[in-house]
Amino acid sequence: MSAGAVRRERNGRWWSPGRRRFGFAGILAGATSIVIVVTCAALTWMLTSRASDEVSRLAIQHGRTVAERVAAESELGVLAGDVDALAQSCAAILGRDDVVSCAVVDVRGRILAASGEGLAAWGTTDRLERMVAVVTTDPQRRLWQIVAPVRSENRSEMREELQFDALRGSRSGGSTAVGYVLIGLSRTSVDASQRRLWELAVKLATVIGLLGVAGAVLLARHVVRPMQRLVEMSHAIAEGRLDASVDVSSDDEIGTLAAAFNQMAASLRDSRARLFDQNRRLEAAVRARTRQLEEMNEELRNASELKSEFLATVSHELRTPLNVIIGYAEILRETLGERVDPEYRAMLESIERYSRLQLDLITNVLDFSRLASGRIGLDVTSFLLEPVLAEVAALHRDTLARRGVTLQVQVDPAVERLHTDRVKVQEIVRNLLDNAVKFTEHGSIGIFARIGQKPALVAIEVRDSGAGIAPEDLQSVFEEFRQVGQSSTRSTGGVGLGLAIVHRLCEALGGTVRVDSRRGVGSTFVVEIPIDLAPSIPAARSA
Amino acid sequence: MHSEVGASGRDRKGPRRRAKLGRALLAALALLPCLAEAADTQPRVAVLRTSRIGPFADAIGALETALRADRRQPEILTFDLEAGGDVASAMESVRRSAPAVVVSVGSLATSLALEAAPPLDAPIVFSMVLYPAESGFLSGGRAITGASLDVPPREQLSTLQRLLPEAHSVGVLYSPRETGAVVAAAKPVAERLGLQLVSEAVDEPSKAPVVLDSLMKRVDALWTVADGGVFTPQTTPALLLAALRSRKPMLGLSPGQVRSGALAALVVDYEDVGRQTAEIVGSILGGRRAADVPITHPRHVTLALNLRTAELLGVKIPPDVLSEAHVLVQ
Ligand SMILES: Nc1ncnc2c1ncn2[C@@H]1O[C@H](COP(=O)(O)OP(=O)(O)O)[C@@H](O)[C@H]1O
Ligand SMILES: [Mg+2]
Repeated sequence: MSAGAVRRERNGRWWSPGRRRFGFAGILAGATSIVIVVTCAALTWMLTSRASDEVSRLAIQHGRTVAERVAAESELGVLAGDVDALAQSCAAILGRDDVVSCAVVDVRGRILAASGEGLAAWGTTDRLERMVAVVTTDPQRRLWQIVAPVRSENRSEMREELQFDALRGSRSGGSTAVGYVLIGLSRTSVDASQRRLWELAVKLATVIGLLGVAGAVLLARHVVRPMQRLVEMSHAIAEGRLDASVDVSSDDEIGTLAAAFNQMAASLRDSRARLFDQNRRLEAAVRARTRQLEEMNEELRNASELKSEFLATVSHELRTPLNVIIGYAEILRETLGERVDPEYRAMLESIERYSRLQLDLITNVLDFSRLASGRIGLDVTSFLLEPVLAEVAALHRDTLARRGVTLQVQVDPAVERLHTDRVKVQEIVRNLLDNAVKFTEHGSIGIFARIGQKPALVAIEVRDSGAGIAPEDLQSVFEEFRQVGQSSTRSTGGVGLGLAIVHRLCEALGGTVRVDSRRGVGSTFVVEIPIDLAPSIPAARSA
Repeated sequence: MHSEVGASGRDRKGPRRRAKLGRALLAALALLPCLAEAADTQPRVAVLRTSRIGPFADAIGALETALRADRRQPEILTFDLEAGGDVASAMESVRRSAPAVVVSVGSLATSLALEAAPPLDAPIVFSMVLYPAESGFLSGGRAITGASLDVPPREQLSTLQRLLPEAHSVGVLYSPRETGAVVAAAKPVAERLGLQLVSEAVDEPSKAPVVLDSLMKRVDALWTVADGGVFTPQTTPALLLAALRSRKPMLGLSPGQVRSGALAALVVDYEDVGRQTAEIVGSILGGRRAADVPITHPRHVTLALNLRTAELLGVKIPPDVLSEAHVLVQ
């Protein structure tokens, strides 16, 4: 993956449309900020609402204390109906401690004193008795209505229990409500101080929250900067710039990671250098070895050429005297004819036959050595197959006629003309026919040419009704110097090179040879080679 | 209330107060030249007062009106004795004005007039004074008489009897030094009326409510005497409250006490006391010796009632009493 592709992939993430600085740092800062802001807001709300409640609670408690004090002072006034005194004590508390109204009523609901605002509709005495326990708010929500009962003892009723009560230390059981003190407590100043409290809390929370967010951002950057450097470094390494290193000296996990990164880069650099070095040395070794091989090859080629020249020379030198011997033996046999003793005649025939065998042998050995040297030149020409086969068959016609073995040559018109090396085709067929003639004492021999297993191939089949080959020998008949079976007697001649030559020639012409044989029934050799050997096909394979 | 002021005033005589009175008198001296002209033909009456408001003002107003109506046309000189003023110089100007009669309004003014040194020549007629004899005003051998505020115990107790026919035992608190004699004198009176007067002495005012609590268990009603050793601004509400808590009726001392919870009180007509004073002055100007003129008691006394207290106590006020009474709290 190229560096450009890496960058594109990185910038394509959903949270960072085209901008890199909202990465991990952004998420870290954002998440921390959200936690800080939410915590800040929740704490502020909780603490401030509790403080706010406490402010009202204290105000109400104070109002209740005032009301209870007035109630305690009002016992005589309520009992005696002393409205002036009650009005005085009411007026005394008015305007102080947020008290905006004060009233005293007796248990029958008669208003004994009333001063200040908002005293309407305080309700019946039953309701007042209930309001003793609960602080209510007036309909306009401007006042708290606080009620304190005015209690008094009726000592005349407990004359008998007085001593007993005194012992118990409690006289409050004998006191009853004779009236109520109603106090209206303005919420204005409490509301104002609660508002101030909230304002202060909100300001404070905002400042703390902003500081927290700023801290979170700074922290996130601080944490992420070395990671960014690591990321840049890994990209550099991915792009192959192994000289990259990251400068993070912190003492934490990031520092350890950075150190590991630097170490990794260093060891990468190291191993790459080693690899380069090794490569260079290897290349030098290969070059040296190649040169050696080339030299050896050259030597071998020279040696092979020498051998071929030697063989060509030897074959010529060997064949020339043999041809002379054969020629003279022939002349002698034909010239003398029936006139010589059968005994001498047999001698002449022996000379002639062994000389020919010798010639064949030499020819075969030379042919094979030429083939084995790997230098098979192809001479591709267009020719008719039938005359080639007939020419080979003609060589054995006399021999076969003497034995009473028929020879049949048959060419399918579809393969009348071939385009390949004519001499080599003839050599193949000659070797096969030599064998067929050699191992067939009676019956028939046939040479058949037709289209092969593929339409581009010509199948040339040499069939005989001779000795056949044992199944266990079928695989090895194409090996060099291999003569198998009982037929391999010295009398039949040959050195076991014929089929090896056939095999190599077939390969040279781009074809195959196979054998099918049964002992005592006969053998069939099938050669399949291309009808048209295109000149482009390599002329030879190395042996 | 005035009785308490008088009582406490007598106890708090001192140089500071006299100096203040003197300063007040200096102011009065400025008026002397124009007053001196009529000195030969008209008898002069010097009125010494320590307060210009409330019952004193009512009494002095009625006194002056009555004197002006006198055929001798006495010249009335008013001297303000300011509390803490220069009393000596004030008395000096009184002496120099040579009054035929000195009228002292209230117990404080009376005791200042009696203590003047050198003594004033003119006879002293007091006004608005409670328990003059018990206060020692009559024992100095001076020419002195006047109009007292004392409603006789007999009248008080019989009123109580009319108001509360069921009551048989009546309690009273007193400090022996101040009203021991009054209470002692009232006992036979009560007995004659068929009432049992149960008295409890109070050593100091702060103990009064406690003493009252125990007393209340033994009596049917409470009678009061104007005693500065029992009724102080601090103890009065506590005593009233103790009485109310005990659900026992109390015959109080003043309309103020009735408003504050006493069932009833006998209220003196202060203007009539002023007129009584004028009558005594008239008879002295007419030539009678002060010693021969008897000390008077209030002639017009009305009953003030607190019906709310009555309701709380379950007291049913007899209709004839109710018709005469002045209801202060409905
Ligand atoms: N047509 C055939 N019938 C029977 N045996 C055969 C035939 N052709 C070849 N052989 C066997 O295969 C052996 C190898 O043949 P070849 O390579 O031509 O050597 P050579 O002819 O010199 O013996 C022969 O010795 C023979 O035993
Ligand atoms: Mg052969």
